[in-house]
Amino acid sequence: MASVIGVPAKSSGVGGSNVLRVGKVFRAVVLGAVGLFFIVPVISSARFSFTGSSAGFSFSAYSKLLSDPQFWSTLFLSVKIGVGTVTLSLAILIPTTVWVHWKAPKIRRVMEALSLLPLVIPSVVITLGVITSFGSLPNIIMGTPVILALEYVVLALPYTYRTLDSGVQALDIKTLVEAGQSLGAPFRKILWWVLLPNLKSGVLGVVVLAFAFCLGEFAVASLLSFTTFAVYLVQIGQTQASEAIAFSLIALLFTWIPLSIVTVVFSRRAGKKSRRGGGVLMSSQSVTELVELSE
Amino acid sequence: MMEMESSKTVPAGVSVQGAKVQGVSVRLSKVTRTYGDVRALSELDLAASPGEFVVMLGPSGCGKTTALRALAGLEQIDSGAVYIGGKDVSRLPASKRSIGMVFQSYSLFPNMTSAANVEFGLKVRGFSSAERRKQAHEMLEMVGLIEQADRFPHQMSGGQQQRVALARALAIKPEVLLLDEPLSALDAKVRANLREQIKQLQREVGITTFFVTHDQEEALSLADRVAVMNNGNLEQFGTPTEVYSSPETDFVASFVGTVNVFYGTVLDDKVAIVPNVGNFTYVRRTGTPAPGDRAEILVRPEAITVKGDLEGEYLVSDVTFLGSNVRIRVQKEGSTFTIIQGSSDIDIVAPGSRASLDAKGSAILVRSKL
Repeated sequence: MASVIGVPAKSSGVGGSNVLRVGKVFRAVVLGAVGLFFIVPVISSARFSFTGSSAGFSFSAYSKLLSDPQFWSTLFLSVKIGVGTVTLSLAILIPTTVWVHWKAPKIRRVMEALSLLPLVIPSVVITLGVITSFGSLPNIIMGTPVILALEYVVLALPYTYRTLDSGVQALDIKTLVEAGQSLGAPFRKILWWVLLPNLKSGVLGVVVLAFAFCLGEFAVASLLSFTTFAVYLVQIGQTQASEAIAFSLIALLFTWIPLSIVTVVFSRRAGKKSRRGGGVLMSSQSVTELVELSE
Repeated sequence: MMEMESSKTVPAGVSVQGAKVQGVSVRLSKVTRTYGDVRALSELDLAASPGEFVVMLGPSGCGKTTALRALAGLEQIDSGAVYIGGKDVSRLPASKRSIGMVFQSYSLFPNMTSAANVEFGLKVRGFSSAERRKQAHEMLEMVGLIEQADRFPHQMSGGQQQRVALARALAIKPEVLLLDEPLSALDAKVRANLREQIKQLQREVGITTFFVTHDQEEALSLADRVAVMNNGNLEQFGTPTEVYSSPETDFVASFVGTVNVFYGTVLDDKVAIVPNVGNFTYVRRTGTPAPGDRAEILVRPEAITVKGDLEGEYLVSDVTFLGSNVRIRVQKEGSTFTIIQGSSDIDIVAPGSRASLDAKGSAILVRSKL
């Protein structure tokens, strides 16, 4: 008896390939349009930063900027705040998300809602709240970048908590922790040897998002009277157009270069790991998604 | 592709000296655990002798997994005590109890190879890298997976993962091995093979073992003793034969195996009679009706035979071929009875025909008519 299963009808096959071709074309058009939307302003900005108002080609905007000590001091301040924010975020979020998934999965929804609060409360309100509520804190916190890092930990929560939460959700935390315990491991060893290696993509996501957030945040830093990288960019932009554009492009490079390095390194490792049989590391695609998100 | 269970058994002669442990006694004493209003364990008393294989059997929500987790230290108990090797470990965390555990869901660490998984407990205990590797290889050899030492969990089948989990649990030479429905996620053939391997390994290693399952066949085939649980209580704790043939409670009689309920009369202290079927011997216990009283007589499908009979009281409703056996279902006055006979008897009756039954064994329980 002739089998009819798995033999597509001729007409539907032709129709199917047409649909596929139209889909491909549509995808290419959309991707092209979106690509142009992003790349054209960057190219125009780059062109403007090299020419300025004059017709000639010049590196003057860049050389002026790179020889400006305030450029480096603001960059250093933002990096310092970024490192503090990332460290604090990881120190708070990793144990919290693991604990919620392991011991109190019922409050996951509450945690999610709490983590989204910084999106619905304007940062101005949060900043004023911080100033009035914590004004009496010792000088080592209030009036120093520490307060900014603390505030950024909260403001970045919608991105950082959810990124880590998705990573933890992909694991059977309860069973892994209990398996580790049954083998005699204390929690810190389970966290270090089992959970963290399996949460690399989530942790990396937190690092990237929190750091990018710190480099680009303007409103809170300005309200608290800190001249961070982003605040200085705005200040320059008010008087020196070419330098401001050059500044923006350098800022973009500062984000893109480390993220590209991370992407390449993790893609290679993920590739090796999957060839060897791993696969828990972040795929290049997910790193790329994070890079896009952080921008 | 990777499914090799069917050909794998624990190789004879494989040295298990590294894993040979002296079994210890284990006791749960009046252990109680409640969740809100629900009593998951109600003053549970259960004791296992050194090296014994105890299977905890019961329906979902009966408390068997809670009891196992209480034993492991993964579940707090409200009252009572847990003793391992005569020592009260009730207040010790799981990591301080000498237990090895295999979980229902595949619990291998995904970032580690099979060998690294097996080495984990040894690494925690500060063994040198060379010693860890040597012992891990011994354990993997013991479960027949030495070729898979460098594979990651996602590269192995479910059965293989559970065997690695077993090797990992045994590598630390625990005093007690706990298995929480380790076969429930596997397909039937792999399950049957792995079941045999677990039994063989337990015999060789001699470790006191607790195994949780809701599968009666699994329980009866593995256990030295079966603990049948219901609603947080221990209904019966006995050998598989005792539990199957002499259930102590109605629940055990109805939960373990298939049972037919006939109405009849208690003839004397040893025999009860079912009209037109015959006499069944039984064991008297508290609550058994007095001789001469009407009673419900509970009989296993193997304790009766069926034969075609045009004048018979029973109507054959179904005949199912089960390989070596044939299951025949007959009906009378709205009640259904199940009979198991050898498959050579498949043609003895046909669905829709009339039949009669004959007693050929013992009743497992005789009780007052409900």
